[in-house]
Amino acid sequence: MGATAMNRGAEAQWGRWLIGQCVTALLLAVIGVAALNFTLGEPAVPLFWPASGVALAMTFRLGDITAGVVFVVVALLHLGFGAGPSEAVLLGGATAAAGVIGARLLRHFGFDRRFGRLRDVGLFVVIGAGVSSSVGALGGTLGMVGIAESFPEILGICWAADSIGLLLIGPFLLAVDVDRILPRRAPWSHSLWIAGGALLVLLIYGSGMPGAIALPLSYIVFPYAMLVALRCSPAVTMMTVVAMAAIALSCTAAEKGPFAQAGMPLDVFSLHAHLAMLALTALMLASMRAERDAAETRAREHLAALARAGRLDAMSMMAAGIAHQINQPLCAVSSYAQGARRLLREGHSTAELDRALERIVAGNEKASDIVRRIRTFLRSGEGERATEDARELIRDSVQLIRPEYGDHGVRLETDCNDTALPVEVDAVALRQVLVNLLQNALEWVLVPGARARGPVRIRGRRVTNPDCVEILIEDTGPGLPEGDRERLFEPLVTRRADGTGLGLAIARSLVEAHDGTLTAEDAPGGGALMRIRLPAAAYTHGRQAA
Amino acid sequence: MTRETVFLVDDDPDVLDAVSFLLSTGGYRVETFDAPAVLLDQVTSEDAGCLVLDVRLPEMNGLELQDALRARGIQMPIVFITGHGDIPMAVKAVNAGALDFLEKPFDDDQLLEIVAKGLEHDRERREQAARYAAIEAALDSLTPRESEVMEEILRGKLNKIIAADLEMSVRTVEVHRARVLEKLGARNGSDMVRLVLSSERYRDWSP
Repeated sequence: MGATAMNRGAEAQWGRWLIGQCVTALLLAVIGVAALNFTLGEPAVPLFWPASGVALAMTFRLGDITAGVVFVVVALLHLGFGAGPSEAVLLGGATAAAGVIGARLLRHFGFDRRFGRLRDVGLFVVIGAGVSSSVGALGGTLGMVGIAESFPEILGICWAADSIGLLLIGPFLLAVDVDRILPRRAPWSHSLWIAGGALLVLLIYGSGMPGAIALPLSYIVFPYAMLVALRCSPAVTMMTVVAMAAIALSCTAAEKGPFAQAGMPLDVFSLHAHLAMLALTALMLASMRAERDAAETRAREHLAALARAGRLDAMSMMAAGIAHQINQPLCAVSSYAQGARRLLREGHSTAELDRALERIVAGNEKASDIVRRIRTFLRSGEGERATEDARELIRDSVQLIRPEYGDHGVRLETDCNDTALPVEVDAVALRQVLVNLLQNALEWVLVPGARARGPVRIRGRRVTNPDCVEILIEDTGPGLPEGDRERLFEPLVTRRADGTGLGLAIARSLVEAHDGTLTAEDAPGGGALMRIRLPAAAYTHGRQAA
Repeated sequence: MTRETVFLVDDDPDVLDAVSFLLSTGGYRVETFDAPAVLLDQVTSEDAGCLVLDVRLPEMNGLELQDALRARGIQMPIVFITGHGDIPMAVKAVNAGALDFLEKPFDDDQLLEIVAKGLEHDRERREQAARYAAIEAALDSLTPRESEVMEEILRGKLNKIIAADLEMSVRTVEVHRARVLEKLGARNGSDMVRLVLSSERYRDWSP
C-alpha cells in the first residue's frame, strides 16, 4: 500500500512538472507575441521582453531541463516573426542560458522563491537584472544586429526591456503557489485586492480622462501596492502588480492612458520605469513584512518551546507528590475490592457489597481526574484562547501543587470571592504561570532562615480602574532580595541550585503575551508578593463556573 | 478489660474508609482518626489493640507520632502504612520499635496477618503487665517480717542461718517462708526468686 501511495505521489509530481512545462511554453508564446507588438525602429527591438524573466523563474522552479522548452518556444516565436534560422537559434539559446545561469546562481546563494526576506529581493534584482537579463540581451542583440555600430545602443535597449519584463513577471511566477490561489483555498479578500488594483488602473488608463489628470493620478498605484504588500503575501502582492501592469501596458499599446502622449518608444519606456519601480517597491515591502511576520512567529514558537520545557520541569519537581496523590485512591480502590471479595467468600449477601463497589468507582474517578489534570497541564497547547474563570485555573493549579506543599508541611490558602473572574487566556499557559509562582513561593518559604514555614496565600479578585483580574501570590519567606526587583525576571537568574532560572522569565513572557503584567513586590507581612494582572474579559454564560 | 480495637490514622478520607472497611471484613473493631492530634486526644494507655498509622500525615510525620504515643505510655504495637517513596521513613520507624510496615496498595491477607500479629503482641504485653501488677500487689501485701525473711531467702541463706540472723526459731522462718510463697503464688523457692526479681521493685536489687 505504501508503494502505491508513493507511486501516486510520484505521478502527481510528474503531472505538476509537466503542467509547469506547458505553462512555461504558453507564457513565453502569449507574452512574447504580445511583447513583439511593442517594437522600436528597425530592426524591430521589443521594448518589453518577458522571456528572460519567465525562463529564470520557471527554470528555478522546474529544473534545468526547462531550458529546452524555453529554447524551442523562443526560437519558434522568432521564426514565426520572420527571423532567420541562425538568428532564431541564437535568440532561443541566449534566453535558455539566461534562465539556467540565473537559476543556478539563485540556488547557490540560497534564494527563497517566496521572497520571505529582503535579502531575496536583493538576490533576485542583482542576479535577474544583472546576469540573466544581460545574457538574454547579449544573445538578442547579437542575433538581431550582429557586431555593428549600433550594438551598444541596441544592447542597452534589449537589457532594459529584459530587466523590466523580468521585474514584472519574475517575482509573481516565482512566488505563486498554485495550490494556494485556487479559489477555495485563498481568502476571498485576496481576489478583491487584485481585482481592485486592476479596476483602479483601468479607470485611470482606460476612461479617457485628460492626460494632465491621468498622469499624476497614475501614481496612486504606489500607495495601493503598498497597502496590498502590508496585508497580503508577496505572491498576492506581485499578482496585483502583474494585473495592474498588464492593463496599463494594454491600454498604452491601444494609445490610451497617461503614457500614450509622446509617441511610442518614449511612452513605453516611461511606463516601464514606472511599472518596474512599482514592482520593486511592492516586492520590497511585501518581503519586509514577510520577514517581520516570520520573526514574530519564530519568537512565538520560541516562547512556546521554552514554556513546554518549563512545564516539564515543573512537572518533574511535582512528580513524587503526584505519584503519592494517585496512589491514595488506588490504595482505597484495592482495599474496597479486597474487602468485598472477603465478604463474598464468607457468603455475605451481594447487597452488602453495594457501598464498596460505589466507593471503588469513586476512587477510580478520583485517580483518573488526577491523570487528566496532569495531561491538561502538560498539553502542548496551540495557544488557543478562551474565556476562562481565573478561579478555576487557580483551583487546578493549587490541586496540582498541593502535595508538594503537604510534603514540606507548608499550608497553601486559597482565597477567591464568589463571583466569576473571567479572563481571555490560554489556560495551559496561565496554569503554568500559577504553578510556577506557587513553586517559587514554596521554595522561598523553605529557604533556611525563613521565620516560619508558611502559609502561602493565593488570591484572585476583580480590580476596577483599570478593569482587570488580579491574582496575588503572597509568601512568608525572607522577602525579595535588595536591589533591582526586575532582575528576578531575567533569564538565568536563580536562587535555586538546580534551577534553570527560566521559570520567572517564562512566566512573565506568558503573562505579557496575554497583555497582562507580572510584578514582584514586598508583601505586607515581609515576604514576597507576586502580582498578576490580566485584562478582564466579558462575562460569558457558556463558560461560567458552576 | 477494654475490647481490642484497631486504631487507624490516615489523613486521606478515602483510604481511611477503605482500610477500615477491609479490617472490618476481617472481623476487627476499628476506630478511625483523620489527624494525629485527634488520636493523641482520645487514645489512652488503658486501650488494647494495635495502631495502624500512615507514615505521611499532616502536622507530624509517622515517626514523630510514634514518639508522642510512647511518651504518653501507649505501648500498643504500631503498623505503618506507607505510600510510594516513604520507605526510608518506614524503615526508621521499624528500627525505632514499630512492629512492621506495609506499602500502599497492600494485600488484604498481609494487612490482616500483620494486624493479627499486632493484636497477639498486645495481648502478650497486657498479660505480662497483669502479671507484673499481681506481683507488685503481692509484694505490697507482705508483712514487714515476711519481707525480711523473703529478702534473706533472696540472698540465698538457709533457714537455719536466717533464723539465727533474725533471732527467731527455724519453725517461725518456715511459717513465714510458706506465707511468702503462698502470697506470691510461687511453687517453690527458686520460682519465688524469679518472680520477685522480675518485679519493678527488686529488678535492680542486690544483696
